[in-house]
Amino acid sequence: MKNVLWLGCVFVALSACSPAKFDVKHATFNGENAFVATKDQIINKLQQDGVLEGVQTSSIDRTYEIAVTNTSTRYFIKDNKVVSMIRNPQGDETKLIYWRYKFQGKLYRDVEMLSDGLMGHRLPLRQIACDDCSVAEAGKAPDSGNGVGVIYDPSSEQVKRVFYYDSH
Amino acid sequence: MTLTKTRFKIVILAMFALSSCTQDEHRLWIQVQNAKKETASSRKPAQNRPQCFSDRYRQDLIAADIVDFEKDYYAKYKDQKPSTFQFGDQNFSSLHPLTIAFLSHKRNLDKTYGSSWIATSPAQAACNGSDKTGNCFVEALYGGNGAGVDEGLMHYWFFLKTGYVMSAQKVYPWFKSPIIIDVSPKDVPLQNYLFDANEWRAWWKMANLLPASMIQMPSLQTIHRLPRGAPPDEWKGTLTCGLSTGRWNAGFITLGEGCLTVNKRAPLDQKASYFYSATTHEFAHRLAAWNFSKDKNGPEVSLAESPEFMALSGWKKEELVEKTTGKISMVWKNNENGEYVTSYSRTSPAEDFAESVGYFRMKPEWVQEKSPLKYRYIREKVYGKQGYTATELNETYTRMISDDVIESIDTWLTPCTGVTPESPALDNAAYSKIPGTIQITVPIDKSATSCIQVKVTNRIAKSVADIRYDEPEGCEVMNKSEADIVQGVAKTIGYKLDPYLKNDAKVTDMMKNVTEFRKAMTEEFDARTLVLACWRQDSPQACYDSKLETRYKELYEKNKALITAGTEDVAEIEHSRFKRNFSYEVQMGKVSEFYENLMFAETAKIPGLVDRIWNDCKSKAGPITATKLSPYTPGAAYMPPEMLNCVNRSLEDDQFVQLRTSAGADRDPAITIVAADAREWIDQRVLLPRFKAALDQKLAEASKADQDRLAGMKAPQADRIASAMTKDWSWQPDGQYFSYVNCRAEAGKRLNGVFTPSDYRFVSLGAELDGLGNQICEKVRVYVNANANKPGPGKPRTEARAPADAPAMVVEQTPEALWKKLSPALVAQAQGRFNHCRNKVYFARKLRRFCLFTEPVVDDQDQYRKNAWSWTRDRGVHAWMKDPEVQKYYTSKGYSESAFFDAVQARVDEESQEFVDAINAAFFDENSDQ
Repeated sequence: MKNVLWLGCVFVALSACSPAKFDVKHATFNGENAFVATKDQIINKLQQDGVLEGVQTSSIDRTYEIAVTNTSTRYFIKDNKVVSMIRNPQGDETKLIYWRYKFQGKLYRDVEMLSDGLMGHRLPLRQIACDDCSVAEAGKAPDSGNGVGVIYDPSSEQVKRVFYYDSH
Repeated sequence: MTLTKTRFKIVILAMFALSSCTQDEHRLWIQVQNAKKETASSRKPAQNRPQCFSDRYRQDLIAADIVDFEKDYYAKYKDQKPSTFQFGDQNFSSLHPLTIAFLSHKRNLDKTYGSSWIATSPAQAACNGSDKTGNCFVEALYGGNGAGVDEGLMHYWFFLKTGYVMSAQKVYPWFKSPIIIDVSPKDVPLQNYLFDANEWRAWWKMANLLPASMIQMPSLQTIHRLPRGAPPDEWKGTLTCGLSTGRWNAGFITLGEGCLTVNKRAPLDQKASYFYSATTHEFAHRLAAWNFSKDKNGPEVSLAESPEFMALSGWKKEELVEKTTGKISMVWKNNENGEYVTSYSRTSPAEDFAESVGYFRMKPEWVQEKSPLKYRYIREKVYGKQGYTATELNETYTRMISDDVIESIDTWLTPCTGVTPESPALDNAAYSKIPGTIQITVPIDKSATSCIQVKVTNRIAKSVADIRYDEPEGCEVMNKSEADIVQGVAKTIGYKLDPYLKNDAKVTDMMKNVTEFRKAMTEEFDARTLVLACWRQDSPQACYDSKLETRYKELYEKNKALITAGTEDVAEIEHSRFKRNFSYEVQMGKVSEFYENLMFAETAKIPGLVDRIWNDCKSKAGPITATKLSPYTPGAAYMPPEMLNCVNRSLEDDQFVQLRTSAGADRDPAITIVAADAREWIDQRVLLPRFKAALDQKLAEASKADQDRLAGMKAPQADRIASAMTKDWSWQPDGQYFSYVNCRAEAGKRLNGVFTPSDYRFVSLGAELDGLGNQICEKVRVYVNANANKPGPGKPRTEARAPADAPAMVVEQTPEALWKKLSPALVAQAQGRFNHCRNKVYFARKLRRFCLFTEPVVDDQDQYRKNAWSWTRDRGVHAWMKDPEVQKYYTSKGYSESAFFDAVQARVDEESQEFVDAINAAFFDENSDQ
């Protein structure tokens, strides 16, 4: 019985350290701050969760592959490693002011997005991005930081998407 | 044939079905009816009404629209005090509430776009929108002094109709990124920034084509025109011609010339001009910008990017977040083989949506062919389930006409049930489009059948005419398909009529009895009593419903004998009908709304009340001098006291509402609610304007009838005098005054086209010309004195009476004998009148020649008191002596100014001919005795 309990403890410990559980990290404001997953790991993880819709090559830059979930979350894979991701905002994240508050006092960019194909007919979407904001927020070491940003509609100041990227 | 219970049940069920269609089934018809109600007061009488919708772009109808819109705005802004408005460093008092609303709106715009957003000055701002005598600031933009009246009116009309303010200055707003143009505003005249007359015509049509969903959108505030000939750099070489942007609760549209292309030969044809689809496209962007917010507080998803719309073309967004830089790239992916209205629709879901909306009504068949799914989506989500293809419009109009006829069935069917072969001749059908006759399969009395057919036919004709007038596509569709539509209506009507027309006397009797039953139940029921009893209760709705049920039972017991010919079905149906008709939402704060609905619905009490009171009181109240009550400026105009007293007496039996005058100083309305318990729950700001408007209409009708009568009396007299008078100008040699007069007369001719008798009414010259009046008097005096003992002036008469080919006859000298005989009397008369002339006379503007006439004024004891003096020119009485004492006697006798004129005119008619004949004989008549 003791062996069983010991083995159980080992199993739990291994599970807690499993790459599938926490190697697919991305920068958040909760302390996780590094992209360490490989393509296989992210695909396995999404498959396990039952949310993977497919993997495709980016038509914008064919050196990237994209793992897409059924909630429009996308993991961008380059050189067999997850380098960025984008997802829908949730709760207060939909408000631009929330992010401006988060980025307050930090160095961040507020630029027009490269293109959404609107040809000047109405205002193009914009993005703000901060290379080290997640690190500062999490209090982690500077050299382990990742970037975070959002896409927003300047007409409504509605945040359309939240993205994370490996800024190093 | 007897009426079996089963058959009777079918009849009743059919009736019930007709009266209880679901809201969806009648949705369009309800919209149309509401629109008709809204525009009813602006409609011209049938004889002046244009036949087609497009012909309604007329200044008088636009102005009438404005009046109606203002009333609506007045209701909206009624809580504002229309006292003063601070504008710049000036105060304006007693401004129209709507003007204040407009200016307040402008003030908000100023905050956003700078103080010169609307180019105006304080002096121009004080303008009542419907009063064109002022120089409205919107009018002044386009030239002022009447030059820009059409554009100015439209500017104002468009704001009232849509809630959007049009550009009126050289600066246009920008949001986040400006539009750069090559020219500097200082090099471009303001006119280049304003919409021109052709574009305004198109805007008028456009505003009428917009669906309700695109009217008064919070996401759109202003519309701007880029200056002519100065396209933005970034638009050059592209198809872009408009920008639609701004925040979700505010925004603007900026348009370049490309989007404003109007077909000059058919400016109102939405299919012939790019203007319509282009502007609708931009409106659609603004619709997508706010309609996604359920609570108007935060965005969820726009119509353009809803999963439902995106799925129609397989729209998917592909993004890329670059490693290290975090740069975002995004492209829209769509189904290459999907359905798109235009190639530009493939750009993005937003443009796909805007293009689909833009062409939906302008080229509906195209949209339906290109993308049936999107056509359906736009129809459901944007256009209130209404489609505009030829087929859909045919169906819609068929349904509208059928519904109209069927909804009015009680008004014409019941009278026909009593028609017999011995009845007086029936109305004639005035409509020839009906193929044959309305098919009625049930064999009933021929006279009744014929009566019904005629009435249905006439009703259809009226409904067709209304559609031509009300619907933007009405005439186009009717011109092509009227016969088909009417045939469809005829079939529908025939089908619907059959259940009504069982050839059975019992049915017709029952019909009549049911009508009487309904009338009795309605007349004897006053929902106000129930509301008053319940609105303070904890559960007012439950209280009301309960009392309504109780009251129904009481009334039913009292009147049920009327429908004993029927069965239990009748009672059941009538019960449902009663509850439906008198079901109101009763709660605190809803009482005014309830009361307004109750009082002013088509079947409500006020209109009938006004008619009854007016008819009762008019004969008792004596002459009505007021011509208008003023619903906008309480206390400024009044009901005649006699009339008001009579109205009060007539209302004494109403337990809630009584009317009375008020002390004007406290600015209370001239008519108010005095019953204390009624004041507590009736919003008199709602009630009184409506009541007063009804009385106003009566007053206006009476006043117009009076004016018409007087005009009819005066016109022949004026013509007789005009033909009788000579043209002796000799006493006025320098012509100074005449130049002015002729100038004004010519201006009048140009302005009005022709003179009418009303053009010759007396008009005071005003202060600026009083001195000139004295000069004229002095000339008269000098002339008369200088010639008192001389022969006549010997003015050659150059007006040939001889045939044209005869030598001109010139009378060189007037016989001295005759002059001597006449001149003492003339001189004495003129000298005697001179002092009065000098001090009292007001001259007519168009005075060219004057002759003096008198009207003896007597007091109540028939004692001669004074002369009333009148002057004439060559076409009638133009000036009169406004002697205060004379005025007093006339007033004491109850004569109005019109009565005075009539009396003078009659006097002139008698005296002038004699006088003129004498002058002619003395001076000019070559055939008179020497």
